[in-house]
This record gives sequence, structure tokens and C-alpha cells, in this order.
Amino acid sequence: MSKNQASTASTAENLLPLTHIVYHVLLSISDGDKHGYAIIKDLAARTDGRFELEAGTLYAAIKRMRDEELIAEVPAPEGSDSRRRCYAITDFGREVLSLESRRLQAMVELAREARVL
Amino acid sequence: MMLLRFLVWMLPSEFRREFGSELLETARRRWDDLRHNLSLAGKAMFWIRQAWAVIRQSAELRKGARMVGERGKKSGPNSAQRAATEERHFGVLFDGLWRDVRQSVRALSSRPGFTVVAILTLSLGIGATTAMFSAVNSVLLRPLPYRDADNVVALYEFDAAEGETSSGVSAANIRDLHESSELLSAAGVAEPFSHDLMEDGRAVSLRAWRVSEGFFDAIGATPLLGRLFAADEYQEGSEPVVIMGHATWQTRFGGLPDVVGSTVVLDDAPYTVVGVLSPRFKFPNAAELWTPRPHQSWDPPSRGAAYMSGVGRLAPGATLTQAQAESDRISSGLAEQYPRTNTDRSIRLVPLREHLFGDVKSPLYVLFGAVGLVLLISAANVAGLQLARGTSRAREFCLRGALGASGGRLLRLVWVDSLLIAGAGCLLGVGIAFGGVELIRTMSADHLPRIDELSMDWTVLLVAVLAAGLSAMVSGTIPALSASRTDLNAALTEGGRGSTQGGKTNRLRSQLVVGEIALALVLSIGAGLLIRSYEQLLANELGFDPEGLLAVQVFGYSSDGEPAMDFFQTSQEEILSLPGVEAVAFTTDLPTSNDESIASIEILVPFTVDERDAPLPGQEPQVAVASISEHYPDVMGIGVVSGRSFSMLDNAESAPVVMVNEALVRRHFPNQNPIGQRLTISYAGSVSREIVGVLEDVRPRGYESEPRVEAYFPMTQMPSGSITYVVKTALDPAQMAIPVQQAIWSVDPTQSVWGVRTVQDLLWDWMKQRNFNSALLIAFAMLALSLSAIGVYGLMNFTVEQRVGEFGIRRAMGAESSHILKTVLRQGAILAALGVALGLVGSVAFSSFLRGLLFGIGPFDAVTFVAISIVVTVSTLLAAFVPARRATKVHPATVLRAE
Repeated sequence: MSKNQASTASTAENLLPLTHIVYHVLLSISDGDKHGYAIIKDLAARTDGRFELEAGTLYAAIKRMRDEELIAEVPAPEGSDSRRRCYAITDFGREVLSLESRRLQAMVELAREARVL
Repeated sequence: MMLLRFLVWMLPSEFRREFGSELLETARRRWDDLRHNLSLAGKAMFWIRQAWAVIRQSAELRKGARMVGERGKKSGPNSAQRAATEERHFGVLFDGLWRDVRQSVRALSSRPGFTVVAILTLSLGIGATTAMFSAVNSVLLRPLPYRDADNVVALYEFDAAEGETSSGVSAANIRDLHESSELLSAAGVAEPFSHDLMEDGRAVSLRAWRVSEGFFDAIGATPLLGRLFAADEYQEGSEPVVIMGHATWQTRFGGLPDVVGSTVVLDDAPYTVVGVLSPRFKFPNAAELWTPRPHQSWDPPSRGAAYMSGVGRLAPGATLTQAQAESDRISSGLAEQYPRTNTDRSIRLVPLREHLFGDVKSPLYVLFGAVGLVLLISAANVAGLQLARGTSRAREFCLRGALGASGGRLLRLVWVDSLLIAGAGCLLGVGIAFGGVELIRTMSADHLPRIDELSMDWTVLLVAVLAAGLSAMVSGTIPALSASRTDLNAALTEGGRGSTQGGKTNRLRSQLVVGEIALALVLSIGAGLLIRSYEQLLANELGFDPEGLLAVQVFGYSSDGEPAMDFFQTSQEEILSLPGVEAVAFTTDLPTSNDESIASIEILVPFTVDERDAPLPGQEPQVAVASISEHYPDVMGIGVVSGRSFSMLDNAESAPVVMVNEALVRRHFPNQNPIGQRLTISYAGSVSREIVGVLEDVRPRGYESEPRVEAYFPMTQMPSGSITYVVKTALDPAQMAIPVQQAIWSVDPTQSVWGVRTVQDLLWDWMKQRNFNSALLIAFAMLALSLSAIGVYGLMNFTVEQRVGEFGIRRAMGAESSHILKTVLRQGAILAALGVALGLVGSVAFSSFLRGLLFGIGPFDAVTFVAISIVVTVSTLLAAFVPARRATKVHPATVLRAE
């Protein structure tokens, strides 16, 4: 492991645990770039409408995630509304998402062992 | 969406520039996705959640927190647990809410002065808004009590040559319109009438409408009891039948249900009661009785007499425009057929709501807008108070923040305060509104349609709650955002005095106060314009003297239908013999009569000047005619300009004579002597009459009416049974009402009296709407001015408190009191100047809405604008003066000891 990699890993771990909003947003754009409105729709669809994110909460989260370099702004795909900005997950973001997912998985395993699930 | 736009505008500028428009667009698109599947509550919840999210994020962003992960959050007791809870989106709104409410109640109770002033201020705004809305709701918004009322049209006759709309229609024209129309499914007329009912051996005159076949169909009436008239009951010679108004049934017939089918004696003839109308049926207006009006033989020759109320119903599928076009075509045909009466005349169709409420709609909405401004001022005042309180609570907020309270949580604390104040203000405001409603009812009696239905219902209470919500939003959001910017270090290290924070707060409060002064100026200029209009109006010469005059109207006919002239003469002598009566005269059409207490009998007829070329039929000039008794000009105080008044020598046997007014002379005898000229007036035959005198012009329908062309006949040559006694007395004329009626009944107890009223009261009746509008707008302006003065006082007081140390040191350094006074007053003057400048801009917009309510001045009357600007500036400086005086009293030793 190089020095840089060690530092990144350490930063990624420092961000854990993620808030569920950040986790959901990262998950939503992990399978393709999306603009804000598409993220809200996607989250509602993934959770069968149980999780309806407000526009104010989403954009505040986007700003923070961008500041943390978890996501990045990318050009809108051709043919879509160029006024809306698209967001893509960064490598660092993908790493954080993966670490958080593993952490959650480990917790679920613990729950299984304790026969809670 | 407007609320969200406003809240986004409050976000930190960097974030707003980058994400603001995208955030709004995303919220709008999501709204478009979901709104069709949401209930009303769901829709409200959607926007509340969006708004709350923006408010919460606004606070978090200002704190600059980087809260990607749970560890990024501030530590504190149970922080992880709390963080998880707070991020559970909407749940955050209610978490610990009850605890905050209890804390707020404790905090508000500990500062009763602040709490009472804030609640009282808001309750005044909410109360006034709610009361005014209840008037708007009862008069304009509630459904009309007629079937498919949107298809009902009122009918008027319009004279294109004169450019005037008559007050009604003639029966023959409406009958012809209905027979030729395919787009009106029904049409009819109602003729004002009276029937005498004997009660306790004395005749009582009952207001009635004689309605033609089609009238009830057109208006869409449904009886409360019994039925409406059958078709055969509209035929001449059929059994007399009557329908009762609800109030008559209740008061005169005990509200007994078996009244239907019973017989009542009216005008000495038996009438069968066939139905009772509902209490809300008031078209053309409230009446005691309705009787059928058969087609009369004199209808066709009386096409020119448009004094009946007409109503029509649009056929299914027909639009108003189509029906109006059809009516115009039919009117053109009638003009060709009857050129003498119908040339240039057409029948106008006016939607029923416009007919009923057209005159009062715009003033009511203006007053409602005005009261909305008062609400804004009171909310801004409370926001100012909250800001001042927020400054002193800065340390508390910082400590809470340091102990782990999130920005959202702090925001909520301020919001809960505002909501509690607004809630209490709402409760008190509803109480005030009940009083306000009673006041409006008293002030607007007989002038606002449907005012008897004025009441506080659920819609009105909902508006009170909305007004409270708006107040809470205005008075809560600004202090809440200010609190979210509180600087921990500054607040803790400055020993709670918080000069940096105080400076920011002062700027915000100053902006609020400037806004309040501006709004107060807008309302005060509006009130000033109405007061100036009033002055202009009262400066108008009436042409007669209303002082000491009592009007008593009777309709006296002998059994053969002839005017009861002997009865009038004898009763005149009886009245003259009463103590305090100076003179008695009579006329057929009294100036100031208004159809409510004294019926106006306006008869407009064509005439020609003898020895001049006769105009074409239908193009003769018109004149308003009235018969008067010998002393009428003297009793009324109408001056004889030239020639002579009528005398005993002008009788049925003498040569026909006439008096005219100055308006007729100006128009038809310019630069000529009219005395000795002859007119032929087409009224009860066409007789050539010599002009023997010219009377001064009078305003026939109150101060606002213009004199019309008039001719007067001697009562002896043109007798009439519809007369109004004018009694001149040195006593209070109202006190003569009973003795004069008893004098009339002493001559004939079966003679009914139609109406009794002092001429001064009749004159004021014409001013009722203007009085109502002016009184309310003046009251709102005074309230606004007082509230803004309280705002100025509060701000200046607070400023002085903050600068007490500075003033003490200045005094110690030898500063004069006058210098300190000037320093504080200068701040007041700056606020006043900014407020007045802003208010003048707002006034330009508001005053243009008042255009229709003004008289003799324009909406941008310079005198009013300047005078009111001075009044507002002076009141602002006066409000600043008391704190300024306090600043001069600061003793250096006191300050130094405190330091």
C-alpha cells in the first residue's frame, strides 16, 4: 500500500458511518450519472415511496458530498436538458460506499448471529 | 411555491447562486409528478416538508457543518442517537417538539411585557383581517340563494344617445325581448308596489313587488312553503293570490305553517296566500309581499318608463356574449317599430353577481387589501420584538449550540415562540373579529347587500388561522435565521451585550421598521384621499336647505282611483296646526329620496319648445317633471332665480303654467329670457304651458348627483296621489315624525303612510357607502400609524439601551444633551425618510385602486401626498423623541459603575 492510498483509506474510514441520505444518494448514482430530480425519483422508486427526499435536503447533501469529493459534476448526456447538472460518483465516493456497505453488512451478520434477523 | 422561492432567497448567497434555481425546478417537477395522487392534506404536507427542509438546511449551511458522516456532527450527549433521529427527514420536525413548547411557554411567561405586547399587536392585525374577510365572504363569496345563479342576468335599458343606463326596464320591452329571444329561457319584471294591510284599525303600508310571468323562473326562486304563482294566476281577473316574504310571515303572521291557503285582506280585497319565500330571497330587494302582475293595457304606450327591475335566465348552452348580441338585434327591431320611445335604446344583460355586488366589490377588496397591510405591519412589529429578544437570547442559543443543539433545533425554538404568540394572537384576534363583525354590521346596515347574513363561519376561522400562520412565518423566519447566524465566540466573549450581533439585529430591525413606516404611509395616504374627497363633496351646493325638514310619503287615491286632493289639503292643515310646525308643502318627487324610506318617483318625459321646429320622434329632449304645492320652493329653501313662484291663482281653471330650473334654461334658452316662453311637455296629455319662473338647480340624489333638467307643475293643475309632505319645523324634525303621522290619521285612519324620514337623514343615506369605506380605511390607517410608531419607539429604545455606555462616556467627555438628542433623533429621521420614500412608491400603486372611491380629486393628489408624508414623519420623530430624551438623561457615573 502506497502512502497516498493509506491516506485516502484513512479519510474514507473517517467519513463512516454515512448518514442514510448520503448513502442513498451514492447508491443511486453508483449505477449511472443522474441529475437531482432523477435522484429523488430513483430513491422513491427504490424504497417503494417510503423515502421521499426533499429538494432542499438533496442539494445541501450534494454540496457537502461534492466538497468531500464523493461525487463530481459531469456534463449532461446529449439530448437531455443542458440546464440541469449531472452528478457522478468519484472513485473515492465508490470506495466510501463500498466501505459503508461492508460495515452495514458486518452489522447485519452480527444481527444474524444474535438471531435478531 | 412562492413560499419556497422566498425561503430559497434566504439561503446563503453562495449556495443559492449555485443550486437555488435547480432546487426550485426539481421541487416543481416533483410536485407535478405527485400532485394528482395527493389528498389536500398530502399536498399541504408536501410543501411544508419542502419548506422545512430549506429552512433546516439554511441553518446548517450557515454553520458551515460538513455532515457527510455521523462523526462529522458536533459531539455532545447522545449525539449519534440524536443525529440519526434528526436525519430521519420529516420526523425531525416533531422530535422533542413538546419539550420546546414547554420551554417556550416558560420563557414567554418570564417576560410578560414582551409577550403581552406581541400578542396584542398580532391580535389586532389578525382580528381586523378576520372581521374584514367575514364581510367579503358573506357579501361576495357565499353562493347566491337562486338556482343556477350563474345563468341569471339582470336587465337594464341603455340609452346610447345620452350614454346613460336607466335604473330599470319597461314591462313591454322585456315582454317583446323574451318573445323574440331564443337564448333567454325566461325573463320577467318586478314592479315596485304597495299593499295596505289593516292592523289594529289602521292601514299599514307593506312593500311589495308585482312580478310578471317568467320572473320567478328567471331568477330561480324556490319557495320555503307552498308554491310559486301558477300560469293562470298571472291573467287579469283571476283570483287574487300573494306570496309572503319570510320576515312578514314571521313578524305579522306568527310564523304559522298553516298560513299557506289562508286569506289576508289587502287593499280591502281578499288574497289567498299560496307560498312563503326563504329568508335569503331578496330580489330585487327584501320585500314583504309578492303578487302577480298581469299584462297591463298601458304597458305598450309606457315603453319609455323604465322603472321596473328586469331579470332573465340564459338558455342552456347560451353565453352572455351571444345573448347580448341577440338582445341588441331585438332592440334594433324595437327601435324601428317604436321610434318615439325606443330610438337609441337597447337592453343590457348584466350577470347577477355584478348587478348585486358591482358597486361594493371593489371597495370591499380595497379594504381587505388595506387590512392585509395592517396585518403585515403587526407581524413585522412582532418580528422586531423577537429580534430584540433574540439578541438578549444570543448567549442562550450559543450555549445550546455548544451543548449539541443543531441549527434546525435552534430555529425551531424561535419558531415555536412565534407560533405560540401567533396562536394566542389568533385566539384573541378571533374575539376582536367578533366585535369587528358587529361594528361592520352596524356601520354597513342597508348599504352592503346580504349584510344580515354576516357571520363568522368555518371559512372565516380558517382565514384567522391562515393570518396567524402568515404572521408566525413573517415574525418567526427573520428572527430564526438571525438566530442561526449567531456567532458563538462573539456572544460568549462580549458578556452577553453582543455588540456585533446587536449591530446585525439593529440593521434587520431598522429594515422592518422602514417597511412598517412605508406601509403606514400607504394606508394613511389612502385615508387622506378619502377625507379630501369628503371635503370636496360637502363643498357641493345642494340647491336646498335640508335643515329642519321632515319628509312623509303617502299614496292617497280615492275609491275611483283619482288623487285624494281633498284629503291632502285637509291633512296639510292638520299638520300646520301642530306646535313647532312652521310650514308644510308637498311634491311628487323629493330630492334625496332613495327608494328605501321615501320612494323616488322620477318621471322623465319628452318636451318641445313652442315656436321652434319640432325634433324627429324619439329625439325630443327629456325633462324630469314633478308636481309641487304653492310653498314648496320656500319650504325647501330653493331660490327663485327669475320670474315668480306658483300662487293660489294658478289653479285648474287658470292658464297652464310651469316653472323650470337653471339647467333647463342653460341648455334650451342660452342668453335668452325664458320667462313667458312656452313648453309643451308630453305628460298626461300634451298641453302648452307658459314658463312663469326659474328655480335654482338642486342635486336630486345626494351630494354626488348632478342637477338634471327639471320642470315643475302646480299640484292644482297636475294632481297626483303619490305625494311627499315636506314639513318645516324649528324643533328636531325626527321628533315630529309621530305627531305628523297622527295628524294624517286623524283625517283618515285608513290612509297608510309609506315612509317617514328627515331630509338630513335621507341625505346621509346617500353617503352610507362612502362613510363606511372612509371610516374603515381611516381606522386601518390610524392602526397602522400607531403600530409603526410603536415599532419605531421599540427600535429606538433598544438602540439607546445598547448605546447607554457610549452616551455615558460622551456625557463624561462634556457632550451637550442637545447633541445626544440630535444623534438619536437623526436615526429616527433617517428611518422616517427611508420609510416615506418607500411608502410614496407604494402609494402610487395603492392609490390607483382608490380611483373609483374618490370625488373631485385624482388618486395622486399632491396636497394629500405631501400632508400625509409630513404627518408620518412627525409621528415617527415623536416616537423616537421619548427614547432620545432618555439618552440625554444617562448619568456618566451610573455607566462607569456598571462598567
